[in-house]
Amino acid sequence: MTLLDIQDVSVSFGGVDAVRNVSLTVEEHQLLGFIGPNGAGKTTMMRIIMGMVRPQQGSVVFRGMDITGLSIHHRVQLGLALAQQIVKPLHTLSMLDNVAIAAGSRYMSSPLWAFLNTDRTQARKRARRLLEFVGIADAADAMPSELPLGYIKRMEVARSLALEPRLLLLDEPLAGLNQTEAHALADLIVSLVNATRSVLLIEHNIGEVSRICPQIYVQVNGEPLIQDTSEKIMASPALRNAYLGDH
Amino acid sequence: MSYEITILSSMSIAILFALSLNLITGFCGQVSLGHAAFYGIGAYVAAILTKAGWSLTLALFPAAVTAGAVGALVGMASLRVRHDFLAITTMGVGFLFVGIVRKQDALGGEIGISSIPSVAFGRPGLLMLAMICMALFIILCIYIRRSWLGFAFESISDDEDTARTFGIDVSKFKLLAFVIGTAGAGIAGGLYAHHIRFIGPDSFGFVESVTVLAMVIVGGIGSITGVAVAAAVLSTLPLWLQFVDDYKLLIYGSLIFLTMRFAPNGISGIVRALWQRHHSP
Ligand SMILES: Nc1ncnc2c1ncn2[C@@H]1O[C@H](COP(=O)(O)OP(=O)(O)OP(=O)(O)O)[C@@H](O)[C@H]1O
Ligand SMILES: [Mg+2]
Repeated sequence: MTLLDIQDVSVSFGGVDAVRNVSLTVEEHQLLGFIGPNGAGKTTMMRIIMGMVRPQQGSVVFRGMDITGLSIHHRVQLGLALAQQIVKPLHTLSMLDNVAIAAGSRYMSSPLWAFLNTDRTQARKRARRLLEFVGIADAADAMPSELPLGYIKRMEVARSLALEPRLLLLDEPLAGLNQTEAHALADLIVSLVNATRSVLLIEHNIGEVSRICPQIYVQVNGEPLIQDTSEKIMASPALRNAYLGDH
Repeated sequence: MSYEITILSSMSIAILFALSLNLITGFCGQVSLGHAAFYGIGAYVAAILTKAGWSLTLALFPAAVTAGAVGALVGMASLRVRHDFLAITTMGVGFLFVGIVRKQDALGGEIGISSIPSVAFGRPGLLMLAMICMALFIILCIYIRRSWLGFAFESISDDEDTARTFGIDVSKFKLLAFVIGTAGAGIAGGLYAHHIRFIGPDSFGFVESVTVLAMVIVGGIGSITGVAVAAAVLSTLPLWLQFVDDYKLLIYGSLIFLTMRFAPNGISGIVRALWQRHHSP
């Protein structure tokens, strides 16, 4: 079953084609790796899926529904969540509350419902479990500004998981982590994929991507290059060229 | 006795007015430089109605509803613009209000409305009513801050783009903050009109908007206690020091500047810092 179906989307920013005629699908129960050199338009693709950027052309269908014109909060309510490359923690909240607020997303589906709900303990409990899950429970009460990037990146993953998404979009979650931490988080990402959850994973750490993702999609200069099993991709000269050509 | 009653009434009204702006600017992070317009709307609506024979208690409802409805319209503008542009937009609304009222004969034009009826039980009656309204609004603020509505406001105030990624419909929440805040200002305005018993367009100009913003900023943006204390103190300043009344814009403007520059979290921030210093080993 197809969970996400992107058809022929294009986005340009003031003449720069960030994404050009890209079609991409994510199946249910899939962990799809998404790689490409800097400026390939990977983040832009994620932003198109989330509704932060409107494609000038093409369509995005999620769970059989055309969501091309839908606003971000509706997409989140439908089961999309994004852990962003550039993490923006809420600086007035502790790490725990940064996750707890996402864990209580359903309380904030409307202002009236939010007004009527006061209990934060459930959300905090779930937030603490998620912080444990990504291995940063020790920083639960710290403020984001006191912590290194590796913590913030994992908090962002926990925060997106708190939304209980059907499709989890991860934009370079391993950045800022050391090798051991990256390895551990990569294993956790594998464990997230199940009958009701798929993951689309952008990573520059190609070692980890090829280790955990059965399938990899490669995009270069805003255009799709190849999509295949990770063995074939890693052996492909096209991939080498793409990276060497760009650097 | 009557002097104390007068002072306590102005304090209660100022606290209500300042907390109503605090809900918009402090809780939800939306700057407003035209909040006096909603104070004015409430004042005019309530004054016209009591002159037509309504009791003030009853008249405060339409005052709140009218101010809140106009607040919703201004809130719509907040959905399009951010920060400094919002400040300019709301400032424009403030000038627009004064400009329109000046030209309305039905509202007394330049002269305004005088001999506004006194309320039942006179000055003590007004004080009671003002204190009840203030207390209810304080309770509302405390409740909102504890609720998920307050949590959502906090995230919008911090970073609305991030708030969206939690599934928050930012526009609806901002609108609600404007509606509650401006309705609160409407009630404060209705009380003010019956406290002073004379209102004119100049009672609700830019100076008043800056004054109430100073109360919020000096108290500590978002802090209920801090803002209430600042409002109580700053509202009585002109009564004790004549020169404050003469140089309002200068003094309140400087207060805003100095607080922003040297103690961005206002009184509440200073108190918290002292407390922490005192209680940390
Ligand atoms: N908001 C924007 N305004 C203007 N140009 C943009 C914007 N966002 C992205 N771009 C441009 O679009 C292109 C693709 O950017 P994008 O961030 O999607 O690449 P990426 O594959 O995520 O790169 P990286 O690996 O460095 O994160 C780049 O040339 C970038 O400069
Ligand atoms: Mg990127």
